[in-house]
Amino acid sequence: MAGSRNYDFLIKLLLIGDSGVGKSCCLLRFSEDSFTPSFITTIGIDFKIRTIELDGKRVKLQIWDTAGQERFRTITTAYYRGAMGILLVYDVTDERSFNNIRTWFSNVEQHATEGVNKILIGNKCDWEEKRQVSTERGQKLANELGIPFLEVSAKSNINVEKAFYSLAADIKKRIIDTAKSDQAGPQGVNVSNQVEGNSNALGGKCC
Amino acid sequence: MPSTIEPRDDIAAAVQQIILSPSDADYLDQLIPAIRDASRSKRTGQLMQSLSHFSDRCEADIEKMCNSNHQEFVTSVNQLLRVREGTVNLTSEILSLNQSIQSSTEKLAEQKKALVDSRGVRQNIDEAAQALKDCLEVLRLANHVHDLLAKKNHYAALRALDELQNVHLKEITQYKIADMIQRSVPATQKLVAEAVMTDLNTWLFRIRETSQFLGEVAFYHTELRRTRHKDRMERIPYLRNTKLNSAIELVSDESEEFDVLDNEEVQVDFTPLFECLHIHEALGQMDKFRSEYAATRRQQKELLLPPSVPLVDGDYSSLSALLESIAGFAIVERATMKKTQGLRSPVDVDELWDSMCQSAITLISKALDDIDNAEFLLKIKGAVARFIQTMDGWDYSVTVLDSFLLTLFEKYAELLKKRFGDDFQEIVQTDDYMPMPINNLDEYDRVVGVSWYTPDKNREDLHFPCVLPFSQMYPLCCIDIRNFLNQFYFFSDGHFQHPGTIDETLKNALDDLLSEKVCKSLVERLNSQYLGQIVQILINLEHFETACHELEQLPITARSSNSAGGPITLNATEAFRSNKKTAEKRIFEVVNSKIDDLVETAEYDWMATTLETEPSSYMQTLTRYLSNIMNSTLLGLPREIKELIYFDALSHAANMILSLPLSPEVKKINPNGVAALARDVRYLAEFVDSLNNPILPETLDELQQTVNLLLADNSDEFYDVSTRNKKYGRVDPVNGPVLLEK
Repeated sequence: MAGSRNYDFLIKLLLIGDSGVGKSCCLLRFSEDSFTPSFITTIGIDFKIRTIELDGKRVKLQIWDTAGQERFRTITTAYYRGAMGILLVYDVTDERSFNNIRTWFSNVEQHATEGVNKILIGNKCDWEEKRQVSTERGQKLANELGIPFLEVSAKSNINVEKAFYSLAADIKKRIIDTAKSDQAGPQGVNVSNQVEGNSNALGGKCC
Repeated sequence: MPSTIEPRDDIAAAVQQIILSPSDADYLDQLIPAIRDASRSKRTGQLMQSLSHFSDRCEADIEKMCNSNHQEFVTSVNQLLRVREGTVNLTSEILSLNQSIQSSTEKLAEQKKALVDSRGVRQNIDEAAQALKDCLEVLRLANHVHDLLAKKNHYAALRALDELQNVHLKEITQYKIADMIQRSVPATQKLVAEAVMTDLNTWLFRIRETSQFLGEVAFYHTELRRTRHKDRMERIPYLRNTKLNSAIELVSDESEEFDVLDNEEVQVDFTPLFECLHIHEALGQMDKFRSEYAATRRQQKELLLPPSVPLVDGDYSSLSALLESIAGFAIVERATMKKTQGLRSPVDVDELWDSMCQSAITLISKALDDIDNAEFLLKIKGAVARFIQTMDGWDYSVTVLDSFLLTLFEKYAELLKKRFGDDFQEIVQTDDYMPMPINNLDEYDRVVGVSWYTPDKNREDLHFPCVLPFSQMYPLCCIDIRNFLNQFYFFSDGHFQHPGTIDETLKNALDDLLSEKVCKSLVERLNSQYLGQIVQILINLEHFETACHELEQLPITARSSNSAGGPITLNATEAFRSNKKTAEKRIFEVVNSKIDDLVETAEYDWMATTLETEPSSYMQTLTRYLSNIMNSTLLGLPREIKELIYFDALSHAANMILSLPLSPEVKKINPNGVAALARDVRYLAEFVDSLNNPILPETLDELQQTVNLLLADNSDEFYDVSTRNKKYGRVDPVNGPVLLEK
């Protein structure tokens, strides 16, 4: 199978944040470059795949989209652990969703693999007249949490690509390019000297 | 004087004779012959002598007499003289008298003549005076006619004229004036006719002016009757389902006597018409009048029809005005027919009526295109229905109008369908495709109240907040469907004779809406990538199917009571039902594609140098994903469908996994590789077992047997038919050897 594999690395990402902040929309924008204005709530869990190219490598992103609703929390929390990167999404037009970022962040700290890459995302930045959270406050929080920050708009297609790319790049740098840290990447498949010579997924601590 | 002397001879005798002749004539007669005889006998001398002798004797007698009587004689002469004088006097007197009488007689004659003359004159004068009097009388009568005319007393004028012509004129036929008057009679009659026509025209004009108001009053009256009838129908059971204008309705409404033509609001006085009628009858011009009247009414009809009836911005006043005018016009026609004999021909009246109805229909139809509001159309229908009910009561045929109501209904249905179609589309588009959250009992009751939904839990056992299986589009659509039904039946409220059409149209429209706007839109949304949405669509489809079943029964009770009923069949029911399968398939498809995505991240090292003890990451992800969506995304689905999905998903997963080592890219597989695969398959089998469903494990049979075969020490068993059937019955006869090769 390895031979037929159409990617060099597999990176698992996770989108979290309050219900309605636009996680699924960001994902839809990124995975299919489309946007739906209707309000669709994610029930339970969903994921999308998109393969991107980073530094000449084909990186397969498996992006998990979680339900923001409290009632699915047990299901969604289980996905923290396998994630290599987490996008904490809030809605710049919704103060509450911004305030809840701290809670989401502590959930990450609690359930995710240590050292997992994170990024703070303020969605709906096109909707200036409704904005409740300024870019500065977003930036400030990101600084405080020690993670990157981007304001995006799934609707107007602003910065969505950039968010995923930069997170993926950070992960690639952390896991693949740096020393073979041992945290069992989710994939954790140990590719040894195999034929195809492709180092496997991220776990791909290939030598 | 007779002489006494005697002739001596015959002569003497003759002379004697002569002298004795009593008269001169005799004397002559005797003398002449005597002379003749004497002459002949030449004795003339003798004669002469006899005569002389006679005379002498006479003279002597006389002398003797005179001597004796002288005195007396003188006296007598004197006396005679006196007498003679007296006689002369008398004669002159008489003469003068005569003269005077003569003269006076002349005068008298003159006078008499004058008298006669004057008598003649007088008679003439008398006659002339009489003639004048007669003529004057006739003239007076003639003037009287004009006076009457001036007083608008047309009929009296005509009677007078008639009398004048037939009685009075006869009496003065000898006069020229009679002739003149006679000749003026037709003119005067014409004058009367004209005057009365003018009156009639004024009347007609007033009627025309009144018509609309008359129609309005009639409509108002119909409306009142309708209300009363409705009240009665509600109060009195046996009156139920009786119609306006039915015998029963008319009888029960008898107490409310109301004359549209004579009431506080409006009075139509037919007198001028009657008068006109009389007069033309009297003139013997009924036919002419009839045709003129008919022509006038026809003209009036033309005048009351406007070039267009604008129906815009919810304003139908021009339509009301038109219908009122037509109603007023037709009511007057009908009343005229009843009140007069033979003035209006039924054919004419009906023809006018038909033509007006036709025009009204044409006008309204033209305006209909601009109408996009169903409520407004309903108002128009109300106006037309009131018109129909009113005119039906006046014995006019309303068949055409009734069928026009059908046209209106079609348009109405179309508008409703359009509006609700848009509504449905909007609902489908804006739905969140999430089980509908309910926060309290009140909300719950409201939703369950409008939806065709039988909750599986008792109302009392609910804990709020809770969720209902369907998303909110379902109750919203239910509300809309109910409104749609109601709005449809609004049309039959009042007057509509085609209940079957309503039911039929409604059925089709509803069916169309459900199939096209709801079902189809939902099915289109199945393309969604969101499994949750697809699942919700499937659940909604299920509920819509239930709703359809209910709807198939519902119209029986809702529909117009007098239409025959039976359950209807909606194609939408089948559409919803069959598209549940489509939705199921789509769920399979999406789940399978997710499985593909995950299996694609399998990273087996078929020639691994070490033995893998842990299940692969992808396998863990796969099972966790399946388990999670079952407990969240797919949770709301019916158990059978969930099982189907599981079955399908696991079969698919097994196939996909099996295809990994079969890939042509994989040239060789070492035991470690097989072990890793076996480990994962075992892991998957354990997961399947944990689901506690007896059917599911068989989805893995082929995969498991194939892996077992690879693990087996003695692969020859595979080539032994008996053992193969026992242990590897499910292994593909082609794939098995291929894998063994590797």
